[in-house]
Amino acid sequence: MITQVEWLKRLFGQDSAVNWDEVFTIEFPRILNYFRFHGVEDAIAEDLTASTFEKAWSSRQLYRSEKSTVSTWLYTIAHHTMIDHFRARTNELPLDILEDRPERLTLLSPEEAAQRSDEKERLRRFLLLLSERERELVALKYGAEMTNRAIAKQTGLSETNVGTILYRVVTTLRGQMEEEK
Amino acid sequence: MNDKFLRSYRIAPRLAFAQDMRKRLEIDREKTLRVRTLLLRPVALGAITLLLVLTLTLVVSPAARAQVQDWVGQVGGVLFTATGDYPGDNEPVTIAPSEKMSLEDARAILPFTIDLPAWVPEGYVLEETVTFVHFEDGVERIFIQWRAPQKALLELEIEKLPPEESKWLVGLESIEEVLVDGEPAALVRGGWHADTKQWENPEILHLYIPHKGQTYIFSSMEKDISVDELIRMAESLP
Repeated sequence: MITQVEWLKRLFGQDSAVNWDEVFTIEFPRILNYFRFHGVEDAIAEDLTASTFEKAWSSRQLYRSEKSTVSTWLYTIAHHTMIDHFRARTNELPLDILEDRPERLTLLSPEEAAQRSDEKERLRRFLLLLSERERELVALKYGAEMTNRAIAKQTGLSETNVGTILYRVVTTLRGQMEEEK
Repeated sequence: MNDKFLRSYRIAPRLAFAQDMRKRLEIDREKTLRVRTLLLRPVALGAITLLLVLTLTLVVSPAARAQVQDWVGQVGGVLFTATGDYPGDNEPVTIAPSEKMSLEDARAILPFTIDLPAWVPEGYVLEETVTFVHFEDGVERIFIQWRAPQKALLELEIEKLPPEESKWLVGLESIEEVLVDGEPAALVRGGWHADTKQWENPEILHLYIPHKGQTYIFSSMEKDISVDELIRMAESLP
């Protein structure tokens, strides 16, 4: 764990400023999972993760520690990347979701049904049915592994509100998953 | 709350993907981010709010008046507010839009007077691109950098606003007056740190000078660039 003094000394110095290597190691898997918990497919999650880090890296000189921590800054970029992604797919997404609603699984061929009945794939599709705000909270909690307090700070919601929404969403998702078994 | 089914949805990034990203970002080569983490920025509205609160506090509370040592004033024509209060609290996180361009393009397109020092410390080479940033409060700045192997970044920040309109919120006792070409200028040591919420690291130097109706700020680390060298750079501006 890097101390604040060490972190400070890295600023501008030849042997580092913000330890980007450390940031990458910690945040790379979290950002990837943040996108996956938004219900995007793994390949797209990789693309969005790459895009987020490329944006962060290319604009790293604009990062202001007096405004936010590095991770807060990264998730702000990730969130905007996510919004851009869904905005670009606005016309096709609802159809995709409807087409893939779990209740339609029984209408699929046995091969397709078997493939799609995979638990993770089913969860992904249930995630897509959540509201944008619910998905964002789930993505920050389980993808980015943030505490409720950190999520509250990131989203502007109260900590209690975050906890309440997450409890409701997790209960609903669990019910849906168990129902499909 | 039974959320195991959600936690088990997490995956580790593919090794090839992670390695490819590192390569693309050149993290292994650079290892570090030479971010302007501690560089100062004006907080125009924030500064005004702070001043208002401060004024009210001082009016109603003699005790507070005795404790608070905030200072507002000009040094070398640049307006500063020196305070012990961290300015970043309770502000939403924003990403300022930026654009990278060549120096020539910046000079041709942007409404700035961009002058470069004729002298820079030995070994420093001007970066090919400059960064233009438009902040949410309407402030526009250009960042120009010089790098030298194994040495701290050297940066010139040009603030479009004239010095008397550009407000800078800095730490207490961080400002001193120096002379550039015989004229007073402001030397500021340190910067705000988000985690400690303190003004820290006096190693970081910022030299503020008015130049052709704009504010020029030269910044670097004292271990590699002395105050005299910053002044010499400033004095070599056309």
